[in-house]
Amino acid sequence: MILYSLRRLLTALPVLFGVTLVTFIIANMLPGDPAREIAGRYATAEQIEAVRERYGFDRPLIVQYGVYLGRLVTGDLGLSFSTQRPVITELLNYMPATLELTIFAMILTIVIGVPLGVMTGSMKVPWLNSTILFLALTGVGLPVFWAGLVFQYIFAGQLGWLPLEGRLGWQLVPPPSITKMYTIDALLAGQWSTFIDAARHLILPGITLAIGRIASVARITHAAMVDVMRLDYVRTARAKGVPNRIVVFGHALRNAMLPTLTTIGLQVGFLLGGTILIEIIFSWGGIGTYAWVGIFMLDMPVIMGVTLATTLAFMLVNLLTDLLYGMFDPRISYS
Amino acid sequence: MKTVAHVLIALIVMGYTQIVGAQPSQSQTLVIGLGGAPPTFDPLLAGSNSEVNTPSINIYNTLYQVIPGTADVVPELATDYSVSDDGLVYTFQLRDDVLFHDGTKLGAEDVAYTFERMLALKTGTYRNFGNVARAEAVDENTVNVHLSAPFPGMIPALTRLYILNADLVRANERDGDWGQTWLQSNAAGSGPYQLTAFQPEQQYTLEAFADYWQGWEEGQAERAIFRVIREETTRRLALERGEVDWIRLGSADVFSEIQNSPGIVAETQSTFNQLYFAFNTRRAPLDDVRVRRALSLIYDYAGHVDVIRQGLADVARGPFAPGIPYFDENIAPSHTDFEEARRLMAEAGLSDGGLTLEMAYQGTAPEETAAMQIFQSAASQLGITIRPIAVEWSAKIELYTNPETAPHLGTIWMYPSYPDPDVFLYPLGHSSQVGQLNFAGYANERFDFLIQEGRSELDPVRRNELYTEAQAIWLDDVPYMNVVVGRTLSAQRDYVSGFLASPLHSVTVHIYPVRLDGKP
Repeated sequence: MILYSLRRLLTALPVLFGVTLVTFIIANMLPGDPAREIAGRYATAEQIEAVRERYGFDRPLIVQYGVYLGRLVTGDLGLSFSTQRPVITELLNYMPATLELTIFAMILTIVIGVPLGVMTGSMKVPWLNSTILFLALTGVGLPVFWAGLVFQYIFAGQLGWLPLEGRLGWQLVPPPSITKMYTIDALLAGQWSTFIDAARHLILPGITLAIGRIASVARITHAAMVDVMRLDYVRTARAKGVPNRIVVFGHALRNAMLPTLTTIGLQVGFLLGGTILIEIIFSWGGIGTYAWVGIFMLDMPVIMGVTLATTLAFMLVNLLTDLLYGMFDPRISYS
Repeated sequence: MKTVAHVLIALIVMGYTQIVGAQPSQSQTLVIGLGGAPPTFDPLLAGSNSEVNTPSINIYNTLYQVIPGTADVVPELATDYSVSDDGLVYTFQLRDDVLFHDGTKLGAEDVAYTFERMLALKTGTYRNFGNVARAEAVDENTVNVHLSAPFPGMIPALTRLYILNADLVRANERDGDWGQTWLQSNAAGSGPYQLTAFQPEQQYTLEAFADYWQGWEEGQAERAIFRVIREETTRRLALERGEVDWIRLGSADVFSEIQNSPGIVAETQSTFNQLYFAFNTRRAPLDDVRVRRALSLIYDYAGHVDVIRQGLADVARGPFAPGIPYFDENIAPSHTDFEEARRLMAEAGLSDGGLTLEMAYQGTAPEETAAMQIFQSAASQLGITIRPIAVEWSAKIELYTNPETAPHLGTIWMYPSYPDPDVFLYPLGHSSQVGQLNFAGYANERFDFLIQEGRSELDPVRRNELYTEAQAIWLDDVPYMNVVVGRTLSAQRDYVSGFLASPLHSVTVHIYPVRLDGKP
């Protein structure tokens, strides 16, 4: 399994190289001149030229790409044009916020989506199934920015139950930075008030993010369960008098989990790529916001860095999903 | 299960108790909701980025500064200045009672270093100081600034040159970067507030500097938290819930709605920021002045102010806003006159229309989109089709690098960083700026001469003559359509007072004049 993982990671290198090339080409095709963007809206021609020279924009694109790759090999993603901070440092600062939100949203997704799918796929209560599946379909189609604003209006604005935006109330100091995920860091530091506040801030964006995922996971699990429940071995188990609970959870679910696992893996990958709208609405300050600002500023190292980081995250999640297949289906072996 | 529930409830209760306990002097803390985050705290960038200008004006001092709420420039760190006869050397006398936040004294060396750093980095505020050659400390409290050409805008331009603690920045320079890296998240100022915390894209905290040389009064904020809330609807909700005390607004609709919310006061303040439509004078049929005049007469200026801005703007009068020195008070607001427009089009041989004109505008700016639609509808009445090109700023300016292929029309805003006609007329109208901000591709020898002279003329009477003629030529040649002068919109809780935005720092939040009386 370790060898398999290493092999997969090695095959990821050409993909990452391809991603840098494609992103570099696309980023340079974006209309606009980064030198002007860095120099400021009303910069003089002299200022723009000074920037062009300082950042090497006057060199041919192929040379610029070569310089970028040369640095990348040593793990240097360059400096952000707008903040002048190393992109790698900024990614490590912003990523945990997105990771925290993603993990929370995925916990909700799995805890709600999978049981819903199992329930509708294994029980024969037509009206309940139709209702749940209808809600699931609605969930998939719900635009996140709309849902986010409505939730804010109801749960923060009208009812005042939950915080409106941000990761922490302004009156609290972030906990000592270990993982940079406030809930976990607060727990590690034993700061209960900070933990509760950070957790409360997670609820609205987390739910907004999870709704669509819950819906797709429930749909996929439902479809897989319906298929599996029709198979002979399930019928045999039932004929042998195995209790329904064991048939569903012990026999059927295990086989039905493979497509669900794939869906969850894909969803995590997408979420780690930045949840731009949610982050903007809830002032989350994660990788999505970082990407958004970078794109508007034509901040090439940021655009490249975020793309690389999310590609890597996506590939790692895919690898993890593949490895988990082996746990659910012993026929799949990576040795 | 019950035990788990009990533990959870206990934790939540503990949490609340601790949150309540963790609020030091909440009544003296001002919480601001901003739509963007500063990419750096380096005050040199304040000249080109209002997100940086907000912390800068609170953390630093300048030699001269505006009286809050006005465009009147008064001494801040300087006590006086003199100019050599040839106008090439400014000598500034400094106050001797100013301390930096680290307790060291501010002196002439610091001012000289700030100039030297700006000239080396050529960024941000540098755009206002192209004529400055060098600066030197004459003695502890005297600085000489040498210019390569006379610069009549020198004193007002100084309102965005924030003076750095030279020793502190030097100590934190890395590989000849003039402290740029360090200043991204640190400050070296002498202003009323110190930077005490910074969480990128979330919030930054400023706390009052006890030894501030201008002193403190009852009711001033001891602490200011600037929260980044990019979404306007969320900012509004945060204010209504009392989570923030003051917010910047962009939409006139939200402004009108929020005015009726209990406990909230909505405010508008005038600016010098003007919106133009640039007419590409190098592309037919706009190379014909009659067509440009005709097009400038079909736009519904009053409709723009009433509908798009809900009355919260003024119709523009000429190439720059009233309030800028040398503004010609005889200039009337831009107006609509379809009859005259039709006559001019007929005179130009285009009475049947049948033209298609490209118009570039910022598609993500609701005001520009609506303005394009108003123009599109008006143009259709002359048989002219407007083909919209929605672009962001960086793409738009690239479209204009070649005036021969640039769109026929395009929107452009000017946000002056100091009050002088040159800030508008030179970049927009001088022929050397074609391919830069002169979106009209405008070149007129006499106009060039007038504004070139005005740039270095120190005699106010002569400058007045030069700029009066330049304004007349602008109105006659119509390289640009003068649309509206904007106002800034904001809203605050009713216990907040004293927010006085200067037109020179129009999207900047200046905390020192603010009073918090009766904040719960």
